[in-house]
Amino acid sequence: MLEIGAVAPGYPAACPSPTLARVEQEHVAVEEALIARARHGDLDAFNLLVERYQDVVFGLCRRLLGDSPAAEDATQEAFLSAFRAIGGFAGGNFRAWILRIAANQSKDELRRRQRRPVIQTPPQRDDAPPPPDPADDSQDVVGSIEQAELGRQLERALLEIPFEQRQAIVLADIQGYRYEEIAVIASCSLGTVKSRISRGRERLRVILTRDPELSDRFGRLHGREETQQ
Amino acid sequence: MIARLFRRHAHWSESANAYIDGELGPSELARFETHMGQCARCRETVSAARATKALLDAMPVVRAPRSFALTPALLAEPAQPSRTHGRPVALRLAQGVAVLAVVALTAVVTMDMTSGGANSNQTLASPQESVAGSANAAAVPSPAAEASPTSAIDGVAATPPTTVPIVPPPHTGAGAQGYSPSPSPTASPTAVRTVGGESSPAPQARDAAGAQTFGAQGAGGEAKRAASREQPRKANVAAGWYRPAEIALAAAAAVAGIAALVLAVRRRV
Repeated sequence: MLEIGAVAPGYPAACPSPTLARVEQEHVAVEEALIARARHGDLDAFNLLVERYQDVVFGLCRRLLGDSPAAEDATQEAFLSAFRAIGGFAGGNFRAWILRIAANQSKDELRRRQRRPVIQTPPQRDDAPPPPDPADDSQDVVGSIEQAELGRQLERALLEIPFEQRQAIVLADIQGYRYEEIAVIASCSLGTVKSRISRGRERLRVILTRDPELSDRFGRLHGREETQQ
Repeated sequence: MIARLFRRHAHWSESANAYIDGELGPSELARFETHMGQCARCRETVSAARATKALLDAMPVVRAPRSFALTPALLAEPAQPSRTHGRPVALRLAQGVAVLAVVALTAVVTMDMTSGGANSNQTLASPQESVAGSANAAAVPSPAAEASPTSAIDGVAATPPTTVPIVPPPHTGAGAQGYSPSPSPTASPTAVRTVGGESSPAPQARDAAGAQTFGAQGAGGEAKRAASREQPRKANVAAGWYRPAEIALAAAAAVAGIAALVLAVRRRV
């Protein structure tokens, strides 16, 4: 189990600066106080935790489910479940705990969909870039549209790999978590996380090389003639 | 050999992915870098994993489209029905049916074993009688039976332990000894034939022997015979209801139990 307020995604493992370390300690202390208040039923304190984590929770649900309405439902349910269960929170990494609840909600949602298939809605556009600003040069607009299209293609590819592998890949490659925290979120061993990430990336590579456009991008990134498959 | 090589490379593949994520410890890192220097396949794996990671890293950041802050109204709603939607009713129903079926099955089996001892004997009597009847039937064409009627009588005499509970008050005379309560049509002619020591074909023998042995009893005796033939049948039928009931209950318990198990597994509680 990680300590409370383990290193945020994208941050170095150890804070080299004393100032950053102090900020981190304050962050941890505030979070512990909020958790303690929420345990006594303080909804306002819990909502401060919601504000702090709703982006990462929604981001995980969105990538795991592939569509926004379902991700919104899963996120809301995750926070509701967390508030109801916070009395049983044993301390440690609150973010990992809430993300684990969110991942379980997403998995349940996927299972429900398998039982009762829903009519597919048109692809979600929430990854689409904002309307182009006339001041921007056209190159940037084209770039952001391409980027959004790439995001949708990658999202579809992600949905083709098994849930556990997708969860590990999203947490590691999109949200930037360390393996140790992914193990806590996924309730598995570090070795299992390594295996899931390795297999997930391999499957994803195979899927990406099937799509001509993604294969081209992948080949360019790969830096070699890998697209012959 | 190939499997071992495959496993070994799967391990290196995991190391390659951990390597690009900066998740290898110092000793693992040194070992992998040494290996990678000699293994083109691992270099390829590292390159492909880096490309995949770079593509995923380029995905747009998703932000929450609205606030997910909880309100008292949200908290007042019942716990999410979706997680349990549709399942618990079916699951509980299947479990209930399984429990009821097992209880009913236990009750029927207990009744069968305790109060139904005589019934059990009667139930068993039928196959044994059939065996006896078969033995008699087998004795018909036997040269030994023709040569020595007593051996056939012995064969008939061997039946009393099984037939006693269901045999009506015995007749006096040879006819009574020769009587077999078996519903099998072959039994009576055989018995009559053996007592009478006849070796002629069955129908004629039955008529002749019947005239010899039962002639004095007349139509009343024939009616008694018919009634006594019916009696074991009725007893068997009365006892026999347990068997289909047991089978039906066992089947219901098995089906409901399997359904409950499947539902529980699918629910992954």
